Amino acid sequence: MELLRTEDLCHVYGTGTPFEHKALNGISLSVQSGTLTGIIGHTGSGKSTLVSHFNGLLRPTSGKVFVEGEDIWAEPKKIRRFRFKVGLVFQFPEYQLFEDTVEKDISFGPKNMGLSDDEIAHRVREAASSVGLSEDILKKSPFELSGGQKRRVAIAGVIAMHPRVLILDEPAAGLDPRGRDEVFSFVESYLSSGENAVIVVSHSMDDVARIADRIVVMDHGGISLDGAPRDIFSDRATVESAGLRLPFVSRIMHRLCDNGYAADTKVCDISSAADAIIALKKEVR
Amino acid sequence: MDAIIRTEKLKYSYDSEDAGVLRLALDGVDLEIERGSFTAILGHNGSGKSTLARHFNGIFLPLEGAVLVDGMNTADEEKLYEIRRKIGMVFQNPDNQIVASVVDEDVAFAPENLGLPREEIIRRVDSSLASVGMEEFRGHAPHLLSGGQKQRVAIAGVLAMRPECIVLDEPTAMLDPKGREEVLSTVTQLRKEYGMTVVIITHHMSEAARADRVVVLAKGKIHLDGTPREVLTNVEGLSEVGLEAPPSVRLILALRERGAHIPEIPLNDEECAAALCRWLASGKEGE
Repeated sequence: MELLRTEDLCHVYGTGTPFEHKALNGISLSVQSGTLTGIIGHTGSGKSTLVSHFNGLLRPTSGKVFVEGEDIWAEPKKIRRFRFKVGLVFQFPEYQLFEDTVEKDISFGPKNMGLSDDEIAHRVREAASSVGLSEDILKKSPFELSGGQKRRVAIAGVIAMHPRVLILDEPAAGLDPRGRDEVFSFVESYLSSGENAVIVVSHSMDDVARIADRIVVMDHGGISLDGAPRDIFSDRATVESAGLRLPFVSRIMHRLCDNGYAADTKVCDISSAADAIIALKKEVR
Repeated sequence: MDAIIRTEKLKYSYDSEDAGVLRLALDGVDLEIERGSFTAILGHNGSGKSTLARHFNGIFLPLEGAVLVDGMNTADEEKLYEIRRKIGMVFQNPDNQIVASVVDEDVAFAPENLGLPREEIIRRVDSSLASVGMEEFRGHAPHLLSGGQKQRVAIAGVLAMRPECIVLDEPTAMLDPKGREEVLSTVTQLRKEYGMTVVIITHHMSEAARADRVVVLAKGKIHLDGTPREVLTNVEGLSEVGLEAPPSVRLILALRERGAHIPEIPLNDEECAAALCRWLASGKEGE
C-alpha cells in the first residue's frame, strides 16, 4: 500500500532574495508500506529538505505531498495530524532531549496528540521496550545515559506517536558498530508488521547497503538514481558524480573490473563478495 | 620515549565522590604519547576515549593518578595556561566551536587572547588558514560553510595558538565522506609538514588505519596498543569490545575461510585490490 507520495515537488529557499536557491527540483516519488528506503546524497543535495516535506515541516514552493492518499496541504490548518503520521527523527536527536526524565521525554509526543494518561503510559513503555530500553531507565534523567541510549530515547519519543512512516536522518552517525546494529535491528522490527514504512537518510552507503530494499540517490535537488541497492552499486559513474562513495565491497569489485576481471559489482555484503571472488578465481583457472 | 603527554594510573569518574561505589570512566590508564607521533584512540561508545582526551589539556582532572604534559602536571593550576597552549583540542561538533561571525576573526580569537601584537596575529591567521586550505574563505560567514569546512576553520583556530600537539575528539563524526576526507588529509599534512603531534579519537577504522599507532580503550582501560596493522587485524581483540575490523580485513579473512591463500592483510582499498589481483593472477600460472 502506498503511504507517501510526492508529485513534482519543488522547493526554493530565499525566493526573491540574492540567496535564492532551488533546493528541490521536481521530485516525484512513492513509498510503499513494508519497505525501507535509503535516501542518499552529499551535504547540500536536498535530502533533508525533501524529508522535511514529508510531514509538512516545509511547504512545497510547488508540487504536492500525499500521505495515505491525502494531500497534506489541502487544509493547512490540519497539517499537524500529518506530523503524527509521519515521524521525523533528526540527526543527532539526542541533542533535542529536554525533559528531566526519560519517561517524560518519550511522552511529549503522545501528550501533544491529546491521548489519555493510560494510553500515554502504555505507549511510553511499548516504545521504550521496542528500542531496547529497560524499564528502570524511564525514571532516569536522559542526561545520565550513554550516547547510544540517548539516541534510542529520542527515537522512542517519535515512535510513541505510532507514525506510519518513520524517517531517520543519519541514525547511525556517531554510534559504534554495536550501537549501529541495535538501531538497525530495531528498524527491521518496526517494519515487520508490514504496515509501516521506514526512510533512512544518510550519506553513508555502507550503512544503508545492508538494510535498504531501495536506494534513492539525490543530487542537486533531483533524483539521480532510484532502485535496488545492487543495481545502484553497479553504477559507479553516477554514484561518484553525485559526490558519494560506494560501499567497500562495491569499490573493491569495481577495482577488480578495472584490472580486467569480470567481477560481480552487484554484491552488497562481505560474504557474497567473498563467494564471488572465489568463483572468479575458478573461472581464471 | 620522548613523551609529550604521559598519563600515570589515571582514574576518573563522573559520579560524585559521595556516591558510594564509583563507576570508573577511566580505570588506571598508563599511556605515553610520543612527540611527533600520530596516535588514533579507538573505542566503543562509553569506552572512556573522550574522557581520556579531555584529560590531555586539563579540561578534566584525574580522580587518581596524574597527567603530565611535557612534565607539567595538569592538576597544577599555575601550569594550566601553558599546558593549553601546547595541547590544542578540536571537538566533534563544528558549530559549538566557532565563536565569531567571520572566518578570519574566528581564527584570530586565540592569538588575540594570547595578547600578541597585531602583525603577529595577522601572520598566524594567514598561515593557519593556509595550512587547512581555507584562505579563500577568510571573509566568509562560518555558518554558511559546509561541515568539513567549518571543522577546518576550527582546526585553524587551534593552529593559530601554535600548539605542539593537536587532539581531535571524533572530528569527523558529523561530516559526510567529502568533509571527512578534507579533515583527515588536513591532519595528515600538519603531521608531515610541521611534525606536529596528533591524537585523534575516532571509531572509524579507516581513520585509525592512517595513524602510526592505534590504542583501543574498553571499560576505561587500554585493551590493545600497537601499529595499525597489529591492532586492526586483531579481529578477535576488536570484536571482544564491540568493534569491527576494517572491511578489507574482514573480506580477506572471509576468503581465507573459503580456502584462499592470501598472505597479506590489507588495511585500505588500494592494498586490498592489489592483494586480490595478485592472488587471482597467481591462479593463471597454476598453483
